Amino acid sequence: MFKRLLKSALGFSGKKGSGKTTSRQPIEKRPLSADYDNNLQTLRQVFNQCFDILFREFFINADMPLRAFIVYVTGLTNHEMVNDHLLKSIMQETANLPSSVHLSKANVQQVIQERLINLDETSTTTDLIELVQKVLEGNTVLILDGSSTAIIAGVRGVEGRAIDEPDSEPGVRGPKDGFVEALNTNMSLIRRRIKTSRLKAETFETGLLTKTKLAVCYIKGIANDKVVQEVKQRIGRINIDSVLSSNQIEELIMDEAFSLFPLVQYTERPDKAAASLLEGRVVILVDNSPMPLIVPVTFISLLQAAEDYYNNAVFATSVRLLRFIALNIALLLPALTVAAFSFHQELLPTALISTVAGARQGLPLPIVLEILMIEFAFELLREAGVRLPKTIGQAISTVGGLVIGQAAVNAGLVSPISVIVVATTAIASFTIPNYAAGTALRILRFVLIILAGFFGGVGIISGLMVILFHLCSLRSFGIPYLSPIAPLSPGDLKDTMVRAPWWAMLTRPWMSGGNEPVRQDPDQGPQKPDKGGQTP
Amino acid sequence: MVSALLLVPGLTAEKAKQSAWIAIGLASLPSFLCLWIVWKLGKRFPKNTLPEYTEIILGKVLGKVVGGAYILFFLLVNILSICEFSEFLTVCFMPQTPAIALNAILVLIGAYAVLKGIEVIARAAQFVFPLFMISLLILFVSVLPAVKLGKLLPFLEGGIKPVIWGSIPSIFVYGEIIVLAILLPMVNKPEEIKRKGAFALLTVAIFLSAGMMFTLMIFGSNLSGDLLFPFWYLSKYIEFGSYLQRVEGLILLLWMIGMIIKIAIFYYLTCFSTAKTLGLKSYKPVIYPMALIYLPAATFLFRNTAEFRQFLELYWPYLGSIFELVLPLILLFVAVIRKKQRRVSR
Repeated sequence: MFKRLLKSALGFSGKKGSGKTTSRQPIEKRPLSADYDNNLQTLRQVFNQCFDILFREFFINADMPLRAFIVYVTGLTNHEMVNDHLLKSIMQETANLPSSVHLSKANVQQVIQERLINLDETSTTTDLIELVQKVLEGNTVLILDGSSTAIIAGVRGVEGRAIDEPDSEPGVRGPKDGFVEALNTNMSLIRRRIKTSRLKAETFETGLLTKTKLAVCYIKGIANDKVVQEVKQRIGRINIDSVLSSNQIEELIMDEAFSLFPLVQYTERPDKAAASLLEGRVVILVDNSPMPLIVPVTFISLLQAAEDYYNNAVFATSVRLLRFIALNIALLLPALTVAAFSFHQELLPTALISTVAGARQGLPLPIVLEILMIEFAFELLREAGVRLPKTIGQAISTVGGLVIGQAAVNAGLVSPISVIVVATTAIASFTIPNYAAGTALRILRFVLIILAGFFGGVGIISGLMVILFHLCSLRSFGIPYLSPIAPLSPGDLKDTMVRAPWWAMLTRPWMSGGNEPVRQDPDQGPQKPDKGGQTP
Repeated sequence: MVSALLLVPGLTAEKAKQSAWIAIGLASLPSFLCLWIVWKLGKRFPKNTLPEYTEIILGKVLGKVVGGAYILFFLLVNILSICEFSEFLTVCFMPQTPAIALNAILVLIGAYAVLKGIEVIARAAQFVFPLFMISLLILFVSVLPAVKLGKLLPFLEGGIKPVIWGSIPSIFVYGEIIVLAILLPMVNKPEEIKRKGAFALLTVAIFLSAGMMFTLMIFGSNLSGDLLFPFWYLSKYIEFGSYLQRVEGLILLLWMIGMIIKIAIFYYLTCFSTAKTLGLKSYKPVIYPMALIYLPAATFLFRNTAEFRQFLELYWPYLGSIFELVLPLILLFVAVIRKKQRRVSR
């Protein structure tokens, strides 16, 4: 019997053969017994060989001493709280009970929960499975002699990272706090910014073994109900054994199985998450992941940085323009170079072509292979730089800069022009705010270089058209990926390539499904002072 | 429209000389009629597309025959587009690349787009449209310094007759508005299509006329008639000082985008009407067999540009007007007489 219990308590279904079907069945309930020793033994059996789970037995001071025990996970519990508010109050305060209350075996559970435990978060359960789960979540569970109801006390105290600057999305003027691993902290970072009860956060639990908590956040009345429903439905469909990062959730709820382009956005910045919520999007917080997900996503939103909203609107617009140019450079420059040098020399100005021809004299490789080679070397360097500890990283950049920059040119292996092209491309690709979008560009860049090597400009355009058709066919939770450009919703263009000043952002993006379209009152723009009110 | 920009100026200028730009404008007139017919038919059968209502109007057998004819027509239009474009590329841009490779690329991209559906093609078109317009405007503005108004004179030298004759080859360009006969039921707001369609036609007419005018004003009527692709040479003409030369490559690339979208649309139409006429549930199984027709047809139908031009000049206007004007008119006529209306689609 214990074996079966152990299996179901841990969500296991035994050996692999039978695992496939049984793992999908809901775990049945197992009531606690009224017998103290039986309960204790059962739990000891369940938590057999788990050194971090502690049992503490004690007596409750009453006319007739009652036995009780608590069970908790050491690393997940705030010991001070357990000692002060649980053990101390139960063991000592019984003496201070008003005389009208008589502690007996029959009412002990009720009296303790109502009068003695001075904690805000308590609940009860009669189910052994739930009890085990609660213990593993970091709660302390109290089981009393003669009671088949256990008291669950929320005294979690997990060591976590402090709120820190978001490393992956730094900013100059915006807020400097970033999401951390703890779900509750992350939620508080959002709640701190949006103080309305309409900000809803529904929790889900996924992962048969990891029991990871997810929170689907949205603002009721602003978010598109259909999108919210769809998100909840897709999350409800997830049935895997473990969730260790938000990326797993991302891949399980994406619209398209194999698309290079990110159909789910992530951010480390609470301000960005809050802004997305206010645009009518849905934010999915995943416990133990500092990167909440944002859906739906449009391609344009991947090119926007939070910092755009913290700077002068004209400047922000120019920066976005710059970023758009950078996007094109990152995607196209090497391919265009290949096409121009190997197919369409007649399109280059005469002066340039003679320079290039001079520089390329005596080089062993055709331009396609040359550029592919340097791009490849660069990708190697980048990957090495990411994986290495920071201290060694510098060595990489020195060696890399020397090898692909100086030495390769001096040795006559590659032309300086190719190095310039690849370097410019690399710099341009760093301006894309979304890392996932950047990776898509990296791969497509290689594809386009190869196409350009075969068909020149025609190859590039063909590649671009396929990409365009692909982008047009993508949807993120029902929202077309290229909106608001195609399909065009003119009102939303104010926050795409340009960033309109705040007093002009009168309407919410179309994404919200037309709920509460008006964001703010019109005519709040800067105005000249009234003529009558001028100071002499 | 794209194809119009490439070839038509040359064809028209041969006959209409200096007044070719008027001819091009004139050529748009029949297409308004076509739009009106299509719209009327669409109103009668709001949920059906052309291959479906031909069967309702003309009966099963005759309807299938007409439907089949339209399939062939769309097929031919698309083959011509592919031909035209790969021809152009090989002549002006990539002389050493075999036409079949270019055709294969165009057909494959078309197939990919059709696989994704009409909505995707439409969105892609919408995305590209501004780029296209901007590139044209830039082209016009940048050739301004070379323009000589005098080359448009004398005005209507040979009377109105050559102008009308000259306009005939370009009628088919606008006549492509017939695609609406199939796309109409798929449009979100069909009631707006009359206005928007007319607007689109007008825009195209203005841009084409303007293009013709600029070509004439720079090369004169004789040269325009002789040049194979006058518009292309127009873009070659652009030169800002010594640092910005030969922008025609970029403009050509933009044209190619437009061309691919056109090919995708007609590809879709062919597949769609084939599926409808054959009574298939989905058009997707037709896509790849269709590619097998397109590729050899586009590669081997015409031996060279001259033959291609001859076909466009001599046969295409009549063929085009049959399918774009005469047949729809007959359909509407029969529909009115037989009082066929608003049959709900199966």
